[in-house]
Amino acid sequence: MARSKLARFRKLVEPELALLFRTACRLAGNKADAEDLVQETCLRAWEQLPHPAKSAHVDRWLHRILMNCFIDGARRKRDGPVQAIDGGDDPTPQLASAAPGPADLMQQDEQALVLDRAWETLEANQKLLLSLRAEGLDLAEIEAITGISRDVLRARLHRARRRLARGLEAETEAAAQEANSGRNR
Amino acid sequence: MNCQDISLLLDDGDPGALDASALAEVQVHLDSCADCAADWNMQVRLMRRELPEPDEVFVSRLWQAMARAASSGRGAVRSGRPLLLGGILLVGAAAAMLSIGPFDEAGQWLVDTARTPAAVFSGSEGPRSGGAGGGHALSAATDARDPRIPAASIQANRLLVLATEVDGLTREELRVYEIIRNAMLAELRAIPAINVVAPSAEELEAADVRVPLLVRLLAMIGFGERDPVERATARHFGAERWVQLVAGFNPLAPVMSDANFSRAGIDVRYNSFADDFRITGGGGGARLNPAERGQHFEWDINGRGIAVRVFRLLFRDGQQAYLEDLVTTPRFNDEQRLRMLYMFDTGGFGPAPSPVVNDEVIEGLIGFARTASDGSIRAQVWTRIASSGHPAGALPLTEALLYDPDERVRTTAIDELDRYLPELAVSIALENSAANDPSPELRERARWSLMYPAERLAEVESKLVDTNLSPEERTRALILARTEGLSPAGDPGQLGFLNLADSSLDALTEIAVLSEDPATVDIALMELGRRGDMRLVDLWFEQLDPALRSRMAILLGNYLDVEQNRELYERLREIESDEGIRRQMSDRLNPRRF
Repeated sequence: MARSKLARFRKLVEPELALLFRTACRLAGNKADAEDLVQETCLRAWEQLPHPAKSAHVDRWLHRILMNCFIDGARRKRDGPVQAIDGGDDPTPQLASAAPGPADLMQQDEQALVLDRAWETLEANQKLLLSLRAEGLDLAEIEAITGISRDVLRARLHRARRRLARGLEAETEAAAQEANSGRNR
Repeated sequence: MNCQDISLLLDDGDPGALDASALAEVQVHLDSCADCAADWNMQVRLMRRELPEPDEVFVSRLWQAMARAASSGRGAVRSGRPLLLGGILLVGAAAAMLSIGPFDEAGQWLVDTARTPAAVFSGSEGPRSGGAGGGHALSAATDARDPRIPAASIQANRLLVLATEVDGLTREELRVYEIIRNAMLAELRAIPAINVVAPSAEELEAADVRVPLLVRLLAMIGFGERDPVERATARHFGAERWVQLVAGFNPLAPVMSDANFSRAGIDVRYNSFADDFRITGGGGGARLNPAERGQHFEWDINGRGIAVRVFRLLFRDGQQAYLEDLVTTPRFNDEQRLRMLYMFDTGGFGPAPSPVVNDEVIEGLIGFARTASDGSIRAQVWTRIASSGHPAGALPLTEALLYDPDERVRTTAIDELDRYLPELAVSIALENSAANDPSPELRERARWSLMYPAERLAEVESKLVDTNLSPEERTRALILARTEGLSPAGDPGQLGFLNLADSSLDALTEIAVLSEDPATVDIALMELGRRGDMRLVDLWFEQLDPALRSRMAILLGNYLDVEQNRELYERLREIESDEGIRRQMSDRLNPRRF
């Protein structure tokens, strides 16, 4: 019984897995967290069966769950116990930040690194909107997933883009300065 | 085309689907509007960004997890990590929880409330043998091999994940992780408190679970020169990997921010332009280009520097107690324990300011000194015990003197037992050694240690004037006296001031003239030189051997602190024409100083 139910669930979810994973990668910033996020999403989706399965828009349903998982995770990260014991107000980026690990960084090009850093300055819901948009979803689809009206979505997308662009500029400058100081030394 | 058009396109359109003319229009606007250009370029970069696809391993794990969820219900299955990482996640999650104090949902971090840790471990580790701490009964769930891994926050073990998966560890590195993981798991198993089902954060905190884990890890790396971990790290780990290792397995990983590393004297910076890391700390700094890594730096960073600093940072208050535990508990090999002992005793920074005084530590160290396989290590541990002045060290040290087969240990025992005189048992042991030790030198040493200083001086002087003895025998007595018997064959110039009688000084002059052994002559001259005695000046005039005159000139220069001695000054002026001595004395013979 459970096995056949799982088979149906798999049939439903598997075609969406690649897109879901890509979005998760954008949101989480690294593959390992993306895997966790997708797995969490699938588990929650499993819990919500059967009624959403009737929906024709499985992708939207899964993305909505993914969104909730991600925002919950970000909230836990912000409010939860994983904070510096010395107050948690340390402005210095932590080693345990969402930025990729050192070996990752070495393998990425400088631009991607700068983009990653700027990305980390966004709020969770801004990451979400930009991720969905970057995956090619239009406003109608994003509206269906998030439940946010189009006008509000436009404003939020605009703000998110501006913030990311500013972050990108700042990070690019910082990288250039770091490179210069490295050369001078 | 204006800003609003661009915004509409970015919000709802597909920039990739624009035809050439539309693109040209967009470009015209972008050329004139920096904000739109920035937004456009940024979005294009986001859209074009290469992203990984879910790989087969992940997909397979995902559906296995889903199958377990389907059969046992949501909540018990969370992780998609392989079993290898399961334990690590558990340790990291548990320890992170413990490290940061009470929080709302303790149970979710450590173990599912329906399961015991024993059951969790049994999934990946198989049946357990007793841990080092022992004393905790395994629950019946141990045999219910259940691979389920306890719930852990997605974010909680980010560094572990990065270090073990994203970075693509080499096989050797994975092996090292395995070693560390097993050590940490073993440590966990030895802690009875961990075997409590769903313990509260307070309970675990009270049991102080987190500290032994981290101490163990840091000690393994920081002190374990011959430990497989260190061997492997020294060969294969770059500094950045090492930092990951520490941070990743550090239960306090989130705490080990750049700022905290910096506070510990460790600074990690990634330079994207040069595509390398710069790590300073651990007693030195260097640019970490793999090609430039020197052995010394590797040692410094990978070996002890960081581990010791992190250790000290994290255990500012409790480090002594934990080191005591490590030193006195035979979990490490002898060399590691000895290194820890020095670290513990000296704080790792030079000579010991704080001797061991704790009863339990002394007891543990005595056990260590008795059982260490290498004589040199036994001798060093006895020295640390004795330097504490703890009375419990006296009798075991006499046993070492009488029964240890290694001469180095017996030598140390003689030297250190001096502290415990005139305790009767110590005197008896020294007398026994003076009479029966197989080594003549040690017999003499023991005999000297039993004598009062005045007795020693009297014996020296009687030997110095005894013309029946050879010059060498006469000066050997002098050395013994000067070093208080501590160094019969060593440097005679290091210790003590002997208030020798005139007859002895005459005897030294005689030895300097008569002996054909340069070392003996030097000893005699040095003793005269020390005294600033005019006999040395006289000897200088009488001595024709240029090599000897040169050595004497050095001595003369050294003892010109007798500045008020006008006679000496006048005599030395006479020999100032000698090039060698002039160099020694040109400043000191300045008449204005008199």
